[in-house]
Amino acid sequence: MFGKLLRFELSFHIRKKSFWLGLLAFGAIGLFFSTTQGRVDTEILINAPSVLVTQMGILSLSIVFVAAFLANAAFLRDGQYRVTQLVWSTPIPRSLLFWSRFLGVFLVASLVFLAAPVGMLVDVLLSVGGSRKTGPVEVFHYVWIYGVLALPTILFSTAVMTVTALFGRHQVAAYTVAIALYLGYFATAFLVGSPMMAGSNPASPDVIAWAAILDPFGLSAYFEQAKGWTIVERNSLLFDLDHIMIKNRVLWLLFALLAITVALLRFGPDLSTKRAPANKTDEIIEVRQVPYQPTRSVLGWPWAIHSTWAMIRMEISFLFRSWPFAAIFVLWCVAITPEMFAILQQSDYSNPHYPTTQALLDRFQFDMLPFFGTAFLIFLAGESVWREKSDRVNQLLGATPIKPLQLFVSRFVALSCLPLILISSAIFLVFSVQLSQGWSDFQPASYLALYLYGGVPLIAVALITLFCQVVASGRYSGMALSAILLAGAAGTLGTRIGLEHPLFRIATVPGLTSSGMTGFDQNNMVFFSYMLFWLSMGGLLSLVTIRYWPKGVTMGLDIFRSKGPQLSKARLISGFVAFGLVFSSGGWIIYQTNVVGGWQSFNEQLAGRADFEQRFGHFSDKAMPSLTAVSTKLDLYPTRHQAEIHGEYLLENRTSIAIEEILIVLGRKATIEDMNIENATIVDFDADTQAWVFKLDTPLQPEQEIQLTFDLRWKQTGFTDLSRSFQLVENGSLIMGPANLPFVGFPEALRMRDSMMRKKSGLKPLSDMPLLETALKGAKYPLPGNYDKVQFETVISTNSDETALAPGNLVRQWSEDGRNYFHYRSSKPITNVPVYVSARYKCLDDQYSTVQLEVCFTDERAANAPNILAAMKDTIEYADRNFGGYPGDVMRAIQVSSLAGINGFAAPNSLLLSENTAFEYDRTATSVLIDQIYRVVAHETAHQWWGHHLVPARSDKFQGSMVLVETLARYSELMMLEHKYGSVETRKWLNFELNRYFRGRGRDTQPEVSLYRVTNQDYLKYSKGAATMYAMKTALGEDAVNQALAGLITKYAVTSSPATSLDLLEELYLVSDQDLHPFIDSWFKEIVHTDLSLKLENMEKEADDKIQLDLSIMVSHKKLDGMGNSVEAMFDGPMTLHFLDEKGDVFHELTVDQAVSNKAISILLRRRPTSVILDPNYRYLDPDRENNTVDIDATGA
Amino acid sequence: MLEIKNLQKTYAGKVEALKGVSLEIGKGMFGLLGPNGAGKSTLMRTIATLQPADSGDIIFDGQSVFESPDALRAKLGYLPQEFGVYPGMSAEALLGHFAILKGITDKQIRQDQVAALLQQTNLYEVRKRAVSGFSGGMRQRFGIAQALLGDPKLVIVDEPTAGLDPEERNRFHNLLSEIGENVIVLLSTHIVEDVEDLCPRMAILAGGTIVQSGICRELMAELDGRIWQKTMPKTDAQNWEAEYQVLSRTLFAGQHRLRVLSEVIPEDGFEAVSPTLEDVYFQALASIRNGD
Repeated sequence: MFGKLLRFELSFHIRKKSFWLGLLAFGAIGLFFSTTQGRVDTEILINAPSVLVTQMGILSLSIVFVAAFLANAAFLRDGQYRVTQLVWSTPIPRSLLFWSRFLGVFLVASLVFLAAPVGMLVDVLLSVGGSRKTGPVEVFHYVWIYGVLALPTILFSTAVMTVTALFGRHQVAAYTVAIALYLGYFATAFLVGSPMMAGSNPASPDVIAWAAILDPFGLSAYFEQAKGWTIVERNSLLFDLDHIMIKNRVLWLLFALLAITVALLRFGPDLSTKRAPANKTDEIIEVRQVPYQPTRSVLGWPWAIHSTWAMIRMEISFLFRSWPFAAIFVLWCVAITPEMFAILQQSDYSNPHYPTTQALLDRFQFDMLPFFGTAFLIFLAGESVWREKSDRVNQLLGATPIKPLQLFVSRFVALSCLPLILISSAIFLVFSVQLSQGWSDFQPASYLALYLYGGVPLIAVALITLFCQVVASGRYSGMALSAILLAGAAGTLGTRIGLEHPLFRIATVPGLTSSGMTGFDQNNMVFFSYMLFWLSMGGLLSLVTIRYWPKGVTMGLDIFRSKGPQLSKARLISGFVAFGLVFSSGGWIIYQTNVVGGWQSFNEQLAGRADFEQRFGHFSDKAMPSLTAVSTKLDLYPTRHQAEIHGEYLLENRTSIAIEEILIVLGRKATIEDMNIENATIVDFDADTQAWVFKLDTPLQPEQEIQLTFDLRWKQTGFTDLSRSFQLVENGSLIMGPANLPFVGFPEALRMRDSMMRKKSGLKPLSDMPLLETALKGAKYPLPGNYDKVQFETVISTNSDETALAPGNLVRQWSEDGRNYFHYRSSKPITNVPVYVSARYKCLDDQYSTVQLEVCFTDERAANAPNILAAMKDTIEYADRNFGGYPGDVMRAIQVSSLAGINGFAAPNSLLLSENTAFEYDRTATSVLIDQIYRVVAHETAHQWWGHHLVPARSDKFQGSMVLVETLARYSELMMLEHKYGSVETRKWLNFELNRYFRGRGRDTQPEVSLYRVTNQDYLKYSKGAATMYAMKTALGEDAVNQALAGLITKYAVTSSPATSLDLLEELYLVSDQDLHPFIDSWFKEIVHTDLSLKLENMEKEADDKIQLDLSIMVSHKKLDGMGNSVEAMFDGPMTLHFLDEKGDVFHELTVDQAVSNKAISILLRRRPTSVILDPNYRYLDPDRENNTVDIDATGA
Repeated sequence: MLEIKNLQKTYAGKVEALKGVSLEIGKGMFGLLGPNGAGKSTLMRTIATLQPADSGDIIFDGQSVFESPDALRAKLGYLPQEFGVYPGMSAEALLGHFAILKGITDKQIRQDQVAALLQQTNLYEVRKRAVSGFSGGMRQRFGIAQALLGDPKLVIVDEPTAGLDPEERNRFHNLLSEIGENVIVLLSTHIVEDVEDLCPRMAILAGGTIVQSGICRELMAELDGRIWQKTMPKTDAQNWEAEYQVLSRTLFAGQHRLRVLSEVIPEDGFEAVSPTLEDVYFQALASIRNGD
């Protein structure tokens, strides 16, 4: 009997089209998944176990929806098809019925999902021997992952969805619960720092462990186990059942069992009749007998408006006073509220923010609002369009004179209330958060802007969803169609099939952003153009929607087979108008994007870059002159988004051979009024990239000079030319060189780096950067540096209410013809990284010795200016005393808009700070871990020495150059923190950096290199670098390290000779004993991990109240290669032990000198320590610092 | 005057629901009889402007319904065979809503008419209750109330008494006959008694075509003197069915009663009886089966 029931269930599901579609979809995704993973060079095999787990894990997220769909079909169908009374009056035992249905859902879900690993396996089998790296094919891997990760998830999902179906009795309940599960998953993934969550920062280890256990999909447990795995490990290790994984799987299996039990108890016929309760009666009043009198219907405009309004009111009531909407609304509030509180929390890299309106709105206005708004609209449109059919009112309504146009208008207006509700509730929440924090700068204009910039696109979406519903003639197919079309808007789907042009992204505006300083200014033209297009397109489609609106008994496309579209005059006219608007706005957009803006698809861009490189790439081997002086006259017109620049470069031949040709490349498309080198002719010109080859009439001899003049005009429309480094907008103009200005020689930044793309474009593969030592052999001195040093001078003009800033001293400032003029000149040569800014700045001044200090900010951001100024002053004082004189007369900290997308940036004599970081951190917050304002300012100020005064050898030719820039800046910031806040606080920060190092090496797809050969890896140059320099300070002493750095400055900065990481090592050798040199090398030249651990063996109180402690130290000292293979090595100390009292002060220090392994130590102390720490000063790179500390309570535990 | 001209409708290319139906219907009650699956509901829905026909035309008051459906809808009242209601709305509110949709914009007039109709259909006392919670009979009464909104000149009722208890059925008949004076009431049903009680004129629709139409009295008169009835045991009845044109066999006090159509008395024991509309009906259906 049970077998027959089960067979029925299985065939019930399998017979449906959706089953086969699901099978196909999962199979296809499995097959093509790995091809979507980046076009990046990688050492990771495509069937590496870590890859398989990640892929299957991501796919398993969708199981919840599959289970929802199937559970609804299995458990709600009785009520849906009204067979309840038939089924439940048969003699089948209730439990048999339940289990057959439950197993049916479980088996079918498992089968459908099985298509995914099968697809993945097929993909791997097809790729063996091809261009992608495959390892040995182990079917067991797939079985293991499917069995441990997927099956429990399927069971759990089935159980939860069954319970939901039985309690909710409504299809929507299942999808609401599914979304809630996802929210839960994302919360845990965020806390664990899962690599699938961009920007996630892991919390404390306890929280991480809990989060890993609480993840229903098991993925967080896996990532917790696999964090920090090297390439070798990722290629070979399948996860095992460590305690977290076991706890996770067992926990969720138990939940599943609990849910099944509840479901089984609840399982029964649903005979709820929805009768109104009897006591809810009508007042017994005087019944006024009214005779029936027929009344003629009056159909005209007043009636049309009245009846449409009645339908709007009714639809709003149905849509928004319903359980599904309540669930939606709660979901929305639950989704965005934590986001808003997140900015009040601290994380590794930011302090709590002031709850500014811009910061709060940014948490959801560009991602969550469009996403949730679109998803909800898709769902509600399904409810709305088919309401008459599902309530079976369609025959009654069909016999009334109501026109489809009225139905459409009522539904459209009602749906448009959704964005209104979402936005209003969000504003209310923002407002509440601000009030609760005592913040009063509300910025009402930004609130209102949300209705426009966030709401109008959703109105266009509403039109599209209505269209899809009617055309698909069914609720679920309508939702699917809407999802497909609008998912294309999310970009990834459309791009895959070659639909890249921004016009294919339905109802979205490309590059829409805003900032506190500029608002939406730079996007306005684009926004209104695109919205006009999409609204009129929506209007055009609505003509179809209205024509085929389900009325009477014919639904949707069915009607296509009956009488064709009837063209009334009104329809024709509106059609023409809509089409005209679509055509003109679309044409305008295409003109601005493709013709004026030169938009190119990805492949076209690739081809263009390849062409450019083939044509001009050889210039990187030729001798080029260096810049020695830059003089510009820049006129900014922020209101018009325009600028004009006249520039003069003085070029000097600093090579030893004559130069015949000079290549000039303009990084940012401009209107060229003039580009001219005296006594030279243009022999080649590329209009697309704007590159010139000048042939000199007489070759430029060594030490000779020549002048380049240029006149350029820019106009920023926003269609294709939005850029982080270039903004022409009121109260936020920014031009960052050298990318946007004429460049001498071939810019390496434009050389294609990705080897697969080079191959595809027909370019020869790039040779790997040579080892540093090899590159230095035969190199000419001085080495080529990252930047030339130039004498800099500029005159900038801008709006009359704005202040323009550039590097150098302010020579003169005046007004003329209603514009402000500023003349800047650098007193000493500066690196050629000019930064021009203009906004409504106010400035705060100070002085250190001969250096004038300034902080420039806009009105609303005044609060943190004094702190920034003080941090700058402290750092300059420290660096000036310890590293060498500050290379200039002026130092400015400048607030820039968040459009620049930077945290902090160091330009010569200036540092840029984003309005939403240092200027927005709440300096009064009490629960701050590290003062990020101080840290960031110290770091960027230090760059004046490290990167600008001391210029590294060209980082694209010489490895390790970034050590001299970022690592030394990290060191400076660590020292500033330590002097201001003490070593305990500073080491907390150092711990973050160490974690970042270990996590970073677990994500690198290339082998790890040693620090002195770093090219651009963040986890090395920032994180390992910080740890390295701190260890140097521990071992050599701060003074010695500073002496080494001062040596670098004297020898290489003052003389303008670019240096390498080997030069830094030389300096460090000079200030240290010979026997410390291997230690220095172990940090810089090798990859050495030293896992020290401490254990308390015994504690005894001696006769005279002294304490005898027996400790044991374990050492695992490993040298690693880039792939993660390791060898144990001899460890020869020294190690330090700190003994701390209850107040956390160190009352005793012990240094263990001998070369040791597994050492036992006995010590007699005056008092009982509360804790003992091994290697407290971070002398070694220790992957696990947890086991370095032993806490001792009174009993000696 | 409602003229139906040669309507044809085929569903999904296979099921021929209407194969060229033509009728002329004037004021008063008109019955449309037919077995299940005859095409009655299709015809009703088509006249009620809910679905189009493949070919043919419907003219109401001189205007083609297919060309200007709204003109008919302004004067139409339709009670479908099966209908649902918006959940959670009271009878008063829902009826008021439909009143607005039908064109009664004046608030006072609308309230009056809603009250009057609810009283007439005996729903006034439960007017504040949600219609979605009504029993079958109450819902049917609500249906007729909404069909009478405004000033309908054509009222179509499709299988209206199915599911009503005898008391409700009587009340319903009384209500219908009241409105039937100046208005075309098209009653579609398979219950012959309803047509017999209420309708002076009728048509029989079977297999997608009109098999017979005319004034009931006249149709019955045609069978005068040709209907014979006898009660007999079952086995005898079965033998008779094979030999004579038996119109109907019913049970009466444990025995079988046959009604037979014949020009002369078939046998001893048969008595002549007055023809009923049911006889007309069965005779029409029988003639189709025999391929006439």
